[in-house]
Amino acid sequence: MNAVRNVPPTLLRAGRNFGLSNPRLLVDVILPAALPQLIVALRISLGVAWLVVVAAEMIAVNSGLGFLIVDARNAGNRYDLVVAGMVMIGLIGLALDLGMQQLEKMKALKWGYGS
Amino acid sequence: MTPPPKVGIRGLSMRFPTDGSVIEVLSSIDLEVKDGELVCILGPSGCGKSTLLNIVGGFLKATGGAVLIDGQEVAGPDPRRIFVFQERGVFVFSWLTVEGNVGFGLFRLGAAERAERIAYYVKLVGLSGFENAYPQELSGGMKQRLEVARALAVNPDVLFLDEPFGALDSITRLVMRSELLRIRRAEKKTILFVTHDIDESVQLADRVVVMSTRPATIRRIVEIDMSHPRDLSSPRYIALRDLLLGEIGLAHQI
Repeated sequence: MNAVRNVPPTLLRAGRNFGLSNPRLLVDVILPAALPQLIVALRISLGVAWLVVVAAEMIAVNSGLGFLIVDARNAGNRYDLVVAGMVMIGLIGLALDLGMQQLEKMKALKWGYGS
Repeated sequence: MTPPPKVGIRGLSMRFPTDGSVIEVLSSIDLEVKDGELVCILGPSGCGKSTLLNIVGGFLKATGGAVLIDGQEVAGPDPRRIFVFQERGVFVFSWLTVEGNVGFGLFRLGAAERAERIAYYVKLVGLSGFENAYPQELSGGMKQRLEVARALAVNPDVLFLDEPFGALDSITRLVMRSELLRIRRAEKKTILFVTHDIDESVQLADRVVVMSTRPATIRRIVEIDMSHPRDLSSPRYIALRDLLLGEIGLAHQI
């Protein structure tokens, strides 16, 4: 929401000046203008979401990486599996973040990130 | 019967309520602009000239009086009258290329006509070769030209320019002024140009409307009776400039 609120009013006025209807204004001006900030927000929330998923796996379900770590430790101190699980969590988190970074590098979005 | 003026401003006044008190910004403004005329609105900073332009452009509702364009009252923004903003960098659509920006207002046209118009106006403002560049890859002057091209592409009758060159450096500003005059010769438009720059108004305008400080009224309308190209060191230019300096209330020496 904040990203939409930060759209410069001059852009909205320019859009209206060219005779855009409200739905078109949303699609052609507000959305693209807010997109860089939306993607930053997505990137941050994706990281948080990934952590929460792993944490939830540790307590609630009996599958997944979080469960693997807890189970390997409880079921006979298989620390090799614990470490493997930790490495996997890190790598997947990194991959998710790199994926989002690629979005930021798209040419039509680059303007939103300073240089 | 004489045709109605292109732009007619009748007894326009504007008040802004600010917590408790009311600020009177414009007070009984009367002005007529002929078709194809370039009128500069000149006044000290904060006198309400941008407010006036915003009302004429349909972005603000006046508290009194009326604005008529071709005899019809202005009810809101309209693609026949395009406003060019002063803020630097945020006026063009950064997510679109030069072509995308110029074509922005042309969504009602077919692809072929759209492409033709884009090509024509990109060339007119001298941005050939940059069709696929994004605004952040352009200089300040080029962005300004891009905005002018975007405005001209929808073929408006009236252009409102609100200190369009204010954010540019002085050399680029001079270049842009002659560019504007060149574009104006190619495309006969009625232009309302707000500026606080006395030289700019003498160089560009057919008539200069001098505004007073708040609440703004029209102090005087000065006819610039010089043909283009204007000699910036001719006695007439200097006389007109000094006249306007005096009207604004500035000394001739610094």
